[in-house]
Amino acid sequence: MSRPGYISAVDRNTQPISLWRGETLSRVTLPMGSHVVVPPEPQEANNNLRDIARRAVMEPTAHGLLQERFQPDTKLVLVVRGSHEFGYTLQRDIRRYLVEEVLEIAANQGVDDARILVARGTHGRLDDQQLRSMLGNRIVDSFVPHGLLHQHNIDDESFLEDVGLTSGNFPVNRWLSEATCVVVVDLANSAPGDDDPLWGLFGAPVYRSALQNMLPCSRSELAAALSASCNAHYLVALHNGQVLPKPLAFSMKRDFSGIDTLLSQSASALSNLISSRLARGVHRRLAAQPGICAIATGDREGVAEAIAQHRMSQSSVPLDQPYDIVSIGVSPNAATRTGSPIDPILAAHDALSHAAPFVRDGGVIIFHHDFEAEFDPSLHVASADYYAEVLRAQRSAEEATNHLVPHFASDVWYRNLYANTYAFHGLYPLELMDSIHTVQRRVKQVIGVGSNPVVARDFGFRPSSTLNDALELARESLSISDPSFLHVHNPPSVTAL
Amino acid sequence: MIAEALAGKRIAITGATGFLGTALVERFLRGAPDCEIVCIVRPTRSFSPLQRIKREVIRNDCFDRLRSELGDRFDDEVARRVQAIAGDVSTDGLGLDFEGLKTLGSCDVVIHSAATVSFESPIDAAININLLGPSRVAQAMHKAKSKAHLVAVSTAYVSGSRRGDVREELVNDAWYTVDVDWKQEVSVAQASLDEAETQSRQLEKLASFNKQARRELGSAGTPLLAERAEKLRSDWVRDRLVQQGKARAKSLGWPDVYAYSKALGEKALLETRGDTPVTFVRPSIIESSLQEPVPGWIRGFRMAEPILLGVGRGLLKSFPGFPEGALDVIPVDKVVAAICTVAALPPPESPKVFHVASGTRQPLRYRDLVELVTEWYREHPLYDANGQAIAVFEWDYPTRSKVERQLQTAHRMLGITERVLRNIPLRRHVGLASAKLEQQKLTIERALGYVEIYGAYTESEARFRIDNTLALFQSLPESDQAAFHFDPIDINWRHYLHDIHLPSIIAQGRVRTKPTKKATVDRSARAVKTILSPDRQLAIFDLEHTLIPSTVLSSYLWFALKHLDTKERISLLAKKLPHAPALVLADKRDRGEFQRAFYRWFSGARIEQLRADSHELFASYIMQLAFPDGIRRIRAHRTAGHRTLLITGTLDIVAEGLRPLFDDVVASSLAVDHNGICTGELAKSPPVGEARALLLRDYAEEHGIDLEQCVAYADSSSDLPMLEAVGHPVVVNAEPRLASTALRRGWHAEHWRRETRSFPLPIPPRVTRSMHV
Repeated sequence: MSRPGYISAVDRNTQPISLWRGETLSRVTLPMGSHVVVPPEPQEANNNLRDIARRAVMEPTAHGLLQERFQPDTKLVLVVRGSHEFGYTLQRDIRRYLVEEVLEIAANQGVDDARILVARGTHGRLDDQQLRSMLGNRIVDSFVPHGLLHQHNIDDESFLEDVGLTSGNFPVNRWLSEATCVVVVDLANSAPGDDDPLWGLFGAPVYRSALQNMLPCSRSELAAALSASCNAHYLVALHNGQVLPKPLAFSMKRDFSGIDTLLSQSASALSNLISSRLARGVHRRLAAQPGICAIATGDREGVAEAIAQHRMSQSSVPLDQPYDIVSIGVSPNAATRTGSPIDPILAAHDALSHAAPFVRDGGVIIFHHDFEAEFDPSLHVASADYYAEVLRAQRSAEEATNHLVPHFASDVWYRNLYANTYAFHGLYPLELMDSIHTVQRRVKQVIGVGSNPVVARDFGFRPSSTLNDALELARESLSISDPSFLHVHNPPSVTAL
Repeated sequence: MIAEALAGKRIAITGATGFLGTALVERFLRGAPDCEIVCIVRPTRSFSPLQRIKREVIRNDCFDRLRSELGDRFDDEVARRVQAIAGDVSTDGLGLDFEGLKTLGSCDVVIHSAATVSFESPIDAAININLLGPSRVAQAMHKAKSKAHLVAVSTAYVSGSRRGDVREELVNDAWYTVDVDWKQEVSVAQASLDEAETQSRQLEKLASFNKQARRELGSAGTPLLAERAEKLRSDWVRDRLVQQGKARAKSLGWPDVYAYSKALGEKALLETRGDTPVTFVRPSIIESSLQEPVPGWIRGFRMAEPILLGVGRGLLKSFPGFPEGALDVIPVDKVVAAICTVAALPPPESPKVFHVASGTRQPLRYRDLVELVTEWYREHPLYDANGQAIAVFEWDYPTRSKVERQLQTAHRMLGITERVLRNIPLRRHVGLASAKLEQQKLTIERALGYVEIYGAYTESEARFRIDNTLALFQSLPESDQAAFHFDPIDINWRHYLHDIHLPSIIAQGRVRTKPTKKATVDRSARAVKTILSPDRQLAIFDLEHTLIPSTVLSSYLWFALKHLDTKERISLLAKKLPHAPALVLADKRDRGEFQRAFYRWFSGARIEQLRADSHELFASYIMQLAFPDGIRRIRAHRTAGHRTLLITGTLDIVAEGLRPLFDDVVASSLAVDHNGICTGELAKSPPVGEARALLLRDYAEEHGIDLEQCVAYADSSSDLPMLEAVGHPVVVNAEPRLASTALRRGWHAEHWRRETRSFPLPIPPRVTRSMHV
């Protein structure tokens, strides 16, 4: 049984803490009397991925064994998530083993119509290396040349079909409706908030409606309806939150040894010496290997419940009451591809979404990031334009909803890039900004420590050069002389219980 | 008495469109209400003599006072009293037709004020206008059987670089005049022109002009290079004649070709005037008005203004001159009053001379001038582009040779730095820095010119006596003295400089008088607004270095390395890279030649493979390099409803990914054989250099587009033909040569940056199977 997470008070003996500012690491001394989240100890993981996958696939569920679903005339569609939530390349990906096991069982049952569908929603296409990293060379080389692996395109109407989920037009990838058996293979994140992978298989109108709050139900309900309509079988593994590569793992530890402190000091000193660009080059060469601590199989609800329970014990920290001020860093895996810049939208989204569970309504979030207006030119073209044309131009959020959603959704250039390159969809920055605005509306102020002042102001944040200055600003803003202050580690992802 | 004497008279004026001529016309109209004016004006291709007078003279703010005094009657009064006839002082007999001669014959006074006043005129032009001009006027008067009084406006500096008192005497009688045969000067000047024209066409000269044109414009295409080479040739001829003029003037003791040609002009007129009564009016350095029509009126910049502005702008940190010497400046209204008075006199029996100068009566010491000017600038500083006040330096009155030496050294150093920068294969800041250096070099050249030309005047030790002029003034009744005051005794130099002249030239000088930087930002924003105006019809974009910083070389490397393992990649690089310098040189020589040579490297490649790989090239390499501002600008044009066209020498397969942004794409394409293998040749001529301009014209014609309403974006001097073909050229991240051209021509320039600072190498990932999924 791993030790649970808790909130610790900062005293004289508390050492400066390691803090990720995106690609670079720094050390911050927290003020006396403040609090810091001590994350739960990572759960024990089984590293024999082949074994885990084999056992999971063979495990009986309430609806029987998975192999019983396969007949020689079965049209099998395997759905994998095509989003870039890990940032780092995984050394070994459980999804590859799960997909291989499912395909092997299916082949044994005489199934010869098997396809793989990458559910990417508004995310960019996975490149060859990402696909190979996730699914392995054998699968990629067998499926891709024959057109049996398809990366869903939310704009490709020739590939969309309305399956009549609820009232209204909800086009989804037509492979789903053509399939007689749908198996969803996923590696769930340690923190809650992941959508069902099936959410990434709808057509663009659904994402537009979601942004404009015009869906008749929640995203989760819509995904559940889709899951039910195609009777999807889920194979979901949960990793133990150790999302950083081994050389950087010291920064996620709850108890620092002497060596860890030395590593932290060295990494912090090095970060001061090298540029973000060089730091990105270092990150690009690293791969992560989170351990698999749980796996669930069966129908959507059962799997979701099992995963939620595991998550709770692994990544939640008990919280008596939300804090007035919450400080948080930006994880290096906030990048959608290691080596690409963590632009301000990604950084703000990462920091705010992880800080939100700990801060009270009307409180203050302090994040630590350079916040330079540097965007990945091949992935985040729309984000760069959103910043230049909306945030820089100080256009209102209402306009973003009413005018920009249709504009960014239907822009021919973004659609073309999304379809033919690795660029994210025009709606992607709006999705992130929607989430940022939701948190922003809840709190009184967001302060960026060490952030580019111009960019921070463009987001409606306040820039500050040091944590102490930020705390002073926060006190002023809250009009409280002694507000409660909590610092949250990021990564690993933790949430309040 | 003057107004009465001029009543009912017709006064012919040459040079009415000039500074002095305009003031004369105004003064006669206002001060002598019953006289008529006949302006002898050279017609232009677009405007008749009368139209020119209306546009260039009557509309001038010189007439504001009269316009307000006469109110609604102004136009009628002008129409009634001002007449214009076609005539040209550079043509024998002034080129007057019968009617013109008749009109000239009806005039009672002829004032010849037309001249080329530049101190740097080519010798042939100075002789043609300044030397022969007065004689031609007299000749025309003979032909018109005119007995009128010819008032020839000359210059006090016909005395040359002499020291001491200069009396008002005819050049033939003056002790300082060197005996020169003016007719021989005329024929030698013509011969000099012929000789310079011949020499400029010699083989070596033509080769050097061609070389220089190529150095300046790079591979801009034959028509532009030819045009530039011809311009260089004609500039060379002009420069040679300018130098010859300076040398000849100096050899005879005149400071410059202006004084030399005016002096000989007087001499020629005295010989050819026959029985025409002649009076010479010789002003010194004419500057803005003291009183009439309004204090500070000036037309165009005269001799001292560039220097005075140069001081304020910090351009001139010192200027040669003797602190105790007098700089002889005279306000224009004093000169005009003197001429009006002379015109009102009965024709003299023998030629008379009147100096209109301040040096003996109210001298302005050079030290006083410098102190008054610096004092004023300290109170009213000019500001640089950053909104910083420009400091005015303490002058130490150096010698002319010292200042020239300093400026020449600075000029040489800038030239070397500029040459080095031009050869650095970087753009953006280097291009801009190089262009700015060129501007600084031009500024120094200008300063050097001022020192060389005007130094003689600030160092002049001549004292122009005004005995005749004073006697004339004193003979006038008080009312005329008040109305036509040409005695310089009433000039208070502090008041004149601080309250009249300097504020007047600053107002006209387009200089920053307030500490604001906003103008630049506004200018740029305004330019972008103009570019994106709905009136525009088409936006043309170059690709390489305009929208992406990649070169054809890096695209090739990407394609070539794509399917190779590490060992093969190293081998290929080792084989190809030694050719790179030669290719860079070929690119500088001729873009088309370079591309033809370079695309041979594609020989043997399968076109279908290249096409398949091009998706990945675009997604993982080109997009990383693209300038987001460039992409946004294309999209802004499309949003504004403009057509968009990409013209590039890059291969079509490389540019394919950008196609959704453009209505049309014109790119190079590789020729393939029947097996789909690239032959190494191009399917058609690459759209580079002048081919782009031709292509653009055809495109515009085909789509009914007015090229004046087109915007073209490019980075290289090889794109000049295309940029020149459109109404709105924009240079982007320009290479030094184009940056200089753009700065000179006032073209809008932009600097587009890449999104990230990292620069991806053209090396594709080694995993190559099933890329486009």
